[in-house]
Amino acid sequence: MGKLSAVIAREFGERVRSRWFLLTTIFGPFLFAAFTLGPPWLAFRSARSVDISAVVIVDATGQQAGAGVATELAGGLIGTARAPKVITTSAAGATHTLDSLRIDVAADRLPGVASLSAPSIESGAVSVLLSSSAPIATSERLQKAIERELLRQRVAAAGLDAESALKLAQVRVALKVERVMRDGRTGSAQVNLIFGAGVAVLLYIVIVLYGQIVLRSVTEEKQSRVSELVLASVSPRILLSGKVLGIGGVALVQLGFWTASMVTLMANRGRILSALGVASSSMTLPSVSWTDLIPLLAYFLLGYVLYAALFAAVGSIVSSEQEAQQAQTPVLMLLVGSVALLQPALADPDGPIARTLSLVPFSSPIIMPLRLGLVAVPTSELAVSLGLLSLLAAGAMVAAGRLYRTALLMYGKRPSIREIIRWIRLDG
Amino acid sequence: MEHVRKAYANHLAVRDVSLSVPKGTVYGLLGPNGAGKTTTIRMILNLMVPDTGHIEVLGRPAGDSAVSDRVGYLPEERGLYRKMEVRRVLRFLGRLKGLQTKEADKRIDRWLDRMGLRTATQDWGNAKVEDLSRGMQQKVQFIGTMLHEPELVILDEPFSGLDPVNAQVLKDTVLDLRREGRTVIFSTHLMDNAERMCDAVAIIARGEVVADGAMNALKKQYGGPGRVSIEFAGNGRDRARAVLENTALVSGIDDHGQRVEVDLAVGATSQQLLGQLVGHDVEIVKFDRSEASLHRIFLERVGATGVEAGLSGNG
Repeated sequence: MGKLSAVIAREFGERVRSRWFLLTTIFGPFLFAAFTLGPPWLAFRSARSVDISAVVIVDATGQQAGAGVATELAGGLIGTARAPKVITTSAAGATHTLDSLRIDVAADRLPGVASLSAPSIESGAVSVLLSSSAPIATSERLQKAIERELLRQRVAAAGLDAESALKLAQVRVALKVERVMRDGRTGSAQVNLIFGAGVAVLLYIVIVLYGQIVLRSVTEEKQSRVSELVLASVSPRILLSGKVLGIGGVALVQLGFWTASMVTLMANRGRILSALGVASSSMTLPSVSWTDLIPLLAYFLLGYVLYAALFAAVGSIVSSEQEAQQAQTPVLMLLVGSVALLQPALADPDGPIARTLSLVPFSSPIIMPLRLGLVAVPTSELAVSLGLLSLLAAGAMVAAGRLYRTALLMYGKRPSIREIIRWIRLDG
Repeated sequence: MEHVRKAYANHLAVRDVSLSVPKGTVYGLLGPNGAGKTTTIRMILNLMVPDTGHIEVLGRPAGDSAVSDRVGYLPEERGLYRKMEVRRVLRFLGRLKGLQTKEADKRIDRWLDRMGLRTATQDWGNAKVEDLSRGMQQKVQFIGTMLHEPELVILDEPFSGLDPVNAQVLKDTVLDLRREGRTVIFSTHLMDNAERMCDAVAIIARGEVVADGAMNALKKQYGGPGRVSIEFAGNGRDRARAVLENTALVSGIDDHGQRVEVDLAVGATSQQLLGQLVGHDVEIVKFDRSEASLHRIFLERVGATGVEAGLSGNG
C-alpha cells in the first residue's frame, strides 16, 4: 500500500505542480466563458454600434409620422441621444428627395434612408435604402420604431387611448418547453440536450487528454530507462495502477474545477450579461441531483481506467514518442468512433444505435451519459452497461500489467501481435 | 541460483547458470558483451522470470516482496525523471523501498554531502535532474540505490561511463560496503577492477558459467603452472637461450629483449627454471614469479568465440 501511494503521490504531485496543469485548469473556464458570454455580447455590441441618428427619414405621410419614428429611434433603452433627421415632403417631392439621397447612400455618405408615404400607415409598406456598409441591425431597429409609430397612428385614427392600446398590443409569448420523462423528471428540452451532449463531449475530451498523458508518461519512463529502476522496487501491476490512479486524480481535480466554474458561470450568465449591459434571458440549469451524478462519475472513472490501460499498454511496447503517436491510432479510433456516433444517438436516444452503443464498453462511457441526460434509461440496462465496462476495464488493467512486465524492458523492434499475446499470457 | 535458463523469442540468453554468492563478499559477474550477465541480474531481481531453474535471494525466493526492500539495484541503462528535483526523485526512490519521508530526507542529505552534491555554496538536491551533469546524475542514481541501506547491492556495469574520479569514488564506496558486511554483486567486463575488488567471481560466456569461485581458488585452478618475469643484464639474454628453449621447462614466451615473460611448462617450477639459469651463468637483474591474471584466465576460459553471434547485447 505504501509503495502504491508513493507512485500515486509522484504521478499526482508532479503533474499538479507543473505549469501545464495550472495553465489548462485556468484556461478551461476562460474558454468556456468566451463561448457562453461572447456571442450575446458581440451581437449586442454590433446592434449598439448602429448610429441610427445618421439615418434620414423622408416623411410624405402628411401626418408627422416621420417625427414619431425619429423619437422612437432616439428613445428607449438603446436609443441614441440625437434623433435622426426627418425631411418632410409631399408625395410628389418625395421621389425627387429620394433620388438625391440614393446617391449619398450609394457613396456611403449616409447609412440609410427610410421613406414613409401616406399609404404606409395603412399598408405598413415602407421602403428603406441601406448603404453597403450599414449593419444588418439597422433595418431591424428601423422596423421596430416604424411599427410602434404606425400602431400609434392607427390607434389615434381609431380614436382610442394611445397608451392603453400600446400596452395591450405588447404581447410577448415565451415558450417554456419541458420534456417530461418516464420517471417523472422534468427539464428544459434544449438545456437537457445541451447538458447531455456537453457531458459526453467533456468526458471524451478528458479521457483522450488524460489517456494521452498516461501514454506519454509510460513512453518517457521506458525511453529514459527509469522504469527498470522502479520495477526493481515495485511490481508492474502497482506501477501501472499508481500511474493510472495518480493521473486520474489530476483529471478529477481538473474536471471538478472546470465543472464547478461552468455551473457557476451558467447559473450567473444572465447576471453577468446584464452587468455588461447586455439584455438576455437567464438559462435554467437542469436539476441534477447527487444520485444523477454517481453514474456519470462511474462512467468517467471506468472509461478512463479502460482507456488509460490501453494507452499504457501501447506506451510499454513502443520505444519512442514518434512510434507512440502511430501505435496509439487503434485506441484513438475506438474513442473517435464513439464521438462520431453521437449525432445518431442524439437524434434518437432510445433507438437501437444509441442503446447498443451504450452497452458496448468502448463507447458506453460517452454514449450512456448522453442518454442519461435525455431519456430515462432502465436500471437493468444501466447495470448491464456498467457491469460490462467494469469487467473490460479490470481485464485491460490486468493485461496491461502483464504486458508491462516484459515490454518495458524490451527495446528496439516493436513486438508482433503474437509476441504481445504471449507476454500477456505469461503469468507471475 | 540453480540451473537457470532463459530464452527470448529468437535466442537463448542464459543456457544453464548455477551460482552461489557468499554473504558479505564482493562478487563479480564477468563476461563479454552478450554473455547473459544482465539477463542473469534481471532474473535475480525478478524483473524477468526464468523459464526453468530456481533462484533464492537472501534466503527467500526471488520475487518475494519482503526481499526487494533489502536489495539495491543500479541498472546498466541508467535513467531518472529528468523534470523532477533531485531530492524529490530520491525521496520517491526511498519510499518505494519502504522508507518514511522524514528518514529518507535525513539520509538524502547525508549522501548528498558524501557524494559532494551538497556543499556550503551549492545544494544540487534542489536542482532539476536535467540541470545536472552526466557524472552528477550517475551519483544521484547511486544514492538512489543505497538510500535504504540494502543488504545486497547489485550493480550492473557500474563503471561504464564514469570518469576516473567518480570511478574511484564508486570503488571506495563498494569497499566500504564490504567493510559494513553487505554483499555486493557487480557485473563488468573490466578485469582490472574485478581483480582488485572482488572476493569471488563467476565468468559467464555463451549463457553459461565457465568458471567461478573465490579469486585465489580460481587462480590456483585455472592459472596453470605460473608465469615468470625475468630481466637480464649484460649478455644474459643470449646465455639463457638454451634454457628458454627447453620445452620441459617453458611452454610459452613473450620476448621483450632484455626482459621476457615466461609461461612455465606443466610440471615445471620456477625454482627449476632459476636453477637452470644460474647453472648457465646467466646474469639476472630481476626474477619475478607472478600469478596468472584474471584477464588471462578470462581469455582462456571464454576463448575467442566467447561472444556468440545473435546474443542480445544486454550482457
